[in-house]
Formats: sequence, structure tokens, C-alpha cells
Amino acid sequence: MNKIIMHIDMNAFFASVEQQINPAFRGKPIAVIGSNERTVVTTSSYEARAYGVKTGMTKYEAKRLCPHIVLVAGDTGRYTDTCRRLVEIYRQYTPMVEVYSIDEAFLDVTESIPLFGCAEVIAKKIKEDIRQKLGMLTCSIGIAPNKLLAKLGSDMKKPNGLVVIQHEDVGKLLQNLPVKELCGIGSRIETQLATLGIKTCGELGRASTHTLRNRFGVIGERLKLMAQGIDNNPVIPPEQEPDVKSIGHSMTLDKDVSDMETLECHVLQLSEMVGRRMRRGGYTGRTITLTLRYPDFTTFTKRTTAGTHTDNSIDIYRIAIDILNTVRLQQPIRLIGISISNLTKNLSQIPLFLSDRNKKAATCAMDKINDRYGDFCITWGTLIKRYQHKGVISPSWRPSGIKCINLSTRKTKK
Amino acid sequence: MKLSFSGKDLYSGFNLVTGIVPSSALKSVLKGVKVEVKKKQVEFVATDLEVLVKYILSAGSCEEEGGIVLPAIRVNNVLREWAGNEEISVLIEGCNCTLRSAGGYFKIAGEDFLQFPEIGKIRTGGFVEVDGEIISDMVEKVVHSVSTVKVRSMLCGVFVRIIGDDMVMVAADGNRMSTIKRKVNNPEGVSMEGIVAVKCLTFMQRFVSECKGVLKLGMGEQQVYFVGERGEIVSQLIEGKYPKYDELIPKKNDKRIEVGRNELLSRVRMASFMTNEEYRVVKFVFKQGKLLLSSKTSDVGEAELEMAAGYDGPDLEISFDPEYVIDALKVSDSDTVTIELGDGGGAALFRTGYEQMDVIMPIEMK
Repeated sequence: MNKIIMHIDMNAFFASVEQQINPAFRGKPIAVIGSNERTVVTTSSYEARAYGVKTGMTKYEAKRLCPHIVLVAGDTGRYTDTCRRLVEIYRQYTPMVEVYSIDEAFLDVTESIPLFGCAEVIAKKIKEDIRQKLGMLTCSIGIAPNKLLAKLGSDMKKPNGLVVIQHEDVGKLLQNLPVKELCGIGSRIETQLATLGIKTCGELGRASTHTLRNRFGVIGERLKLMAQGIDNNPVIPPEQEPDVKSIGHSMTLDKDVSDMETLECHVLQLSEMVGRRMRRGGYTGRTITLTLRYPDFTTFTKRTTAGTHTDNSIDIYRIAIDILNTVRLQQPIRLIGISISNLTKNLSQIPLFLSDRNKKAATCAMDKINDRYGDFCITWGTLIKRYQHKGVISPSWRPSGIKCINLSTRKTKK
Repeated sequence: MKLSFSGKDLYSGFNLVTGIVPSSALKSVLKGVKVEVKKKQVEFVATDLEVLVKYILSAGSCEEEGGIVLPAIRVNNVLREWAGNEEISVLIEGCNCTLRSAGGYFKIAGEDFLQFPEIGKIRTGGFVEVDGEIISDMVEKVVHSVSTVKVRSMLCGVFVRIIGDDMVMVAADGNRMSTIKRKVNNPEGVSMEGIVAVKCLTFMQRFVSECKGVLKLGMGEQQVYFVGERGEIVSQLIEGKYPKYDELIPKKNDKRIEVGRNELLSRVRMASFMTNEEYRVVKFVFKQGKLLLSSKTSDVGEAELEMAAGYDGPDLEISFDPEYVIDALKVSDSDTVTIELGDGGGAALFRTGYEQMDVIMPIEMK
């Protein structure tokens, strides 16, 4: 049975959310930026895009192109909350929802057709639901027999588009389509394909498998299939996602830091963030990896494998500090990250010592309080003046499960 | 100064102390073995600044006194080749040494022996005497539980306590504990306790295997001393307060199950074949007269094994890290092992021999 896959891409998502929340921003060129000095534009409204403002520009570049642009410091909590509400809408039409990123989702509506008539009807209903429940947010929807083509469809008409790609139209559509339009083909692959004389999907689809495999290895064959519009990847709802291999966090600091005391404070905060997510997901891990980046973007990692599995933030912190102490810093630190791998799930070794069991119970109590009143509502004294990290949302963020990170920096009033 | 030894004696002594020489050291003298002649005895001394080992051989007819520090690995390699030789002569002239035996000689540059660290005066309240093999066996039976997590340094050693004529050794990491008790000869009735580094104890085991007989054991505030006829070991004690181990031994476990040690060891080991590094757990289900062991790991497989067990209570289920159980059973000399259990979430007590037990915390399956 042919699948019917829908890709929903929210238009100028962060900027639209800000315009929805603050009517004064509506109809004006706005750009959502981070809160620190090193920030760049994460999204701009369509009004700003008309001036040439693009994602990734510094705020100074954006101001130069559009002097009256409104720069809004992004509130990640708003976007993650909106994403959750969007997923609730999608789930009314199919349980097969895969959140691809905070503003994109794939829906497998194959089994929903008998209930709603056709995919286009579902798409229109979703657009209407979004308008009714979330106001002026718009989305572009692509409907196709697979994820690759659905994504291509949603990219074809923006904003507020609805494109249906039928099976019989695929060959004609791809024939002269530049390869970079396909999701998964970036500039590096595009350049490499160009050296083989391949610029369009039609040319890539006809290219020799042998040549592609020689050049790209195992993905060579997959590239050819993609260019033919073939993609067998299923829509994977969160409950069917494979277990994660590692859990980690990193943060680019407001300014470069070489002071050990400050670095230790950041390590503690990251350890707590990692520990919290591990405990929430029922994971324990043994291998702790510390990532450091210098201002010149030299990045290196060091790791240690502990004797026993742990999900305790302080254990993670101590091991990370041990690693940090082995590093002779040659420059101040720009980015610091901690991740834990070698994970095991749903197993908890009961500690021998009462003090450890008490520590575990205290951690559990802290987690419950923070679950209820917001992250870092109760925490260690050294983190009272913790770093208010308002960085970018990781592409791996998901509205539920182990990849769900509470990014809101606001504390809920008790 | 000229000395003469049999190849076997010289090699066994020199090789023993070489075992403690660090592979890298800030001072080159520490990468050597001090050979010092005094009072008609030759002392071979090596240290890594945590543990110091001294081995004594007779100087024979040599009346002179003096010494040299010889490069440990290089000289040991020579002596290993000559271990079968009847005689090796050692000629020490200042900081040079000539080793001569049948078929050749080696002239080796050494260092001034006065630069070698000295042992301070032994400060202890007294010594107890115990057969070296007994103390070595005690170490063997608990050392598997020593923690390797440096954050809790006091758990990275074996706690030794002597009260009256009882000597207790305890080792624990955060999840299990092993204890053993044996008798010592303590005519002075001295009491002592301290946390001894594993390195010292494993070296002591090696020392005992070379030098049989009674060992005198003494502990000061910071150091532990093992003194035998052929030498001595001095080590720094690990600082810190050891947990109250007797409080960790479950007293109210009312279910006692007797099982064959070999059979249980074999079954647990087999069940562990179906576990992996990420999912290391074996479930023990006690039923009337039998014990079912099972393990199940995705991407690996599953196993269920059955064995006889002296149990007549209601069904009881508990899960353990198989490595912990295997470690405890491997060092047991007993034919039967008694497992004492409370409920599934509490500590399990494995009585694995005379005055020998392992407390193993279970794994909670969420």
C-alpha cells in the first residue's frame, strides 16, 4: 500500500510566535536573536526577509540592511511550548507524528484517509486548527508518497503553501530539479556531484551506481535513489524511537573564560542538566565526555569511563572536573559541553551506603520540586548566579522523551 | 666492595623489589634499586614513594659497608638471564657496578645510594604476628570489592582492624562489601586499624609467595609495616574514615538459602553470557527447592537456568550484577554457600566461607 506522508513546516516560526504574542510586532520587520553579544539572527519575519535579512547574520549586519528592524531576544520556552501545542493538533489526525525539529514535523496519514477523506482535507483542517488555536501562525505543507518528497513539497511554496506531489508526477518534477533542493544534499555533496557533471536530480538518478559508490561510499546508492524520488524511511513517532546512545549539553559562553572557578561553575550546571535528563529518562551512564572549544574554534574532547553507572549530577560533575584538571588550557574557553554515554536504561543499582541512598532520595526530591516549579528552582548554592543560557535550540530537541529539554529560563512563581 | 650470590637468590630478591619501581619518576634515583651493604647483610630497597620494599640477603664474608643505586629494569633483565648460574659476583666501586658470571660481565653505571629516600623510624604501638599465607589469603578474599573510584579515596583500600586476637579485613565499593576474619597472635593485646592501599597488599602477597613464614604486622597513624625474616614492606595508609562496616551487614534477613557453590558459580557465569556492558543484570528467582536464574538483553539474547536450592519459603525474586556474585563465589573455598535475604530491595548476604561474607546490593528493575 502506498504511503501518504505529510511534511509540515511552520513559516518563520520564532518570528511568527513573537508577532502573535506581541501585536505591536505584527506587519513589521523583526528578527529573533539570542540574548548575548555573540548572537546571530535565528529567524526573521517575512517583512525583514524582504530587506535581505537572513538567518545566521549578526544583529549589526541585520541593522545595516534594515535599519528599522525590531530585534527580539528569543524566548525558547515560548517556542517549545508552541511546538508541543502544534504536536497536539497533529495527533488529532494521526498518531504517526515524527517531530523533525522544533518547527517541522512528518505525519504518516495513510491510515487516516478513510476517516477524513483525503490528505488535502487533513492538511486544510490542520491549517485551520492552527489558525484557530494559535492565531496568525502559518505553515507550508507538502503531501507526497514519502518523507523526502513531502519535505520537497513543503519547501516549494512558502509561506502558507500546500503542495501535493502525486506518484506519477515525481519523474517530471525531479528531472530538472537542482540536487541541492533535496533534503540531505548539502553544499559539499553538491560540489562533489558537480565535479562528476551532475547538477540535477534527473542526472543523479541516471548516474552509474558504481561511480557514485566509488565517490561517496555507502551513501552513493542512497543518493541515486533520492534523486529518483525513492525514500523508504518510515515516520517514527517518539515511542518507537531507538534508545539514545548518549545524553549531553553544551553552551557557548557569553565571553571567553579562563578562570577555573567560573569554568567549574559551568561544569556543575551542565552536569545537573545532563543528570536531570538522565534521571527523567531512567538512564544511567559510565562514560563522561568533556568538550572544550577555544575562541579560534579549536575543539577537543576528553573522556573517562567510571567503574559504575551513575545518573547523579554530582558524580558526573566530579568526573568532569577530574577531566578538566588534566587539561592544560592554552586559550580561554568559548564553549563547554558534557555528555554521558555507555548508557543503560531502567536499571538502578541500589547503593550500599545509607548516605548514598539518602543522597539519591534528596536528588529525587529536588527533581520533583524542579519538575513542578521549573528547572534550577532548587539547586546548589554555587549555581544561584548561574549562567542564564539562552542559546539556540538543539536540532535534536523534541517535545517529549529524553530529547526534551526544558529550555525556559523563566522561573514559575511559587 | 665485592659480593657474591647464587644466581637464583640474587634474581629472586632483585626481581621482587623491582616490582615496586615506578615506570616513570621525577627523580631518576627512584627508577632504581638501592643495594646497600651493612652489618654483613645486603639490602635491596625500592620505592614508588607510597610503598617501600626491602629484601635482605646475606653479604657472606664481605666486611665492608656501602652501596649503590642500580637501574632496576636493566639489571633485572641481566639477572633474569643469569638466574640459573651458580654464582654471580657483584663488584661495587663508587657509582659503578660490575656484574660478573660464567661467560661474561656487565659494567653498569649506577647512582649515589645516599640520594635514595630513607624509611623514617617505625612508629607503631606494637606488632601482631600472623602467618604470611593467611594474611595473603585474606587479601585475596576481599580485594575484589575495593573501589576504583578515586573520588572516595578511603574505599580504594582494604580496611584492616585488629582487636584482641581477631584480624578483620573489609573492602567495599559503593555497591558491595566483602569481609573476612581470622585469628592472629597478639600477645601484647595491641589494637590497630587503618586503610591499606591495594598496591601494598598485592605486593605483600607477592612478597609472601617468595618469603614464606610468619609476618609481623604493625600500624602507626600514617603507615603500615609488614616485617618478615627476609625483608619488610612499608606503606602509607590511606587517609580518611572508613565507613562503619558492621552496620552494613544485614541483621534481619530472615530467608536462608543453601546452595552448592560450584553449581551457583557456573549458573551465574552462564547467565551472564546473555548480558552485556550496558545491561549487566541476572535475575534470581527462588522457588520451593530450586533457584531459577535468568538474563535477557536486547541484541544479545536470553538465558534461563535452574539449579537445586535449599529454600522452602514463598517465591522470591531479586536481581544482581552477575560480576558481583561471581567475584564473591570465585574466592570461596566452601562447598556450599548460604544466601541470606530480606526482601527484594534490601542487601543480600552471601556467607561464602568461615567468617567470610559478601554483602551485595541488588539492582532495582524499573
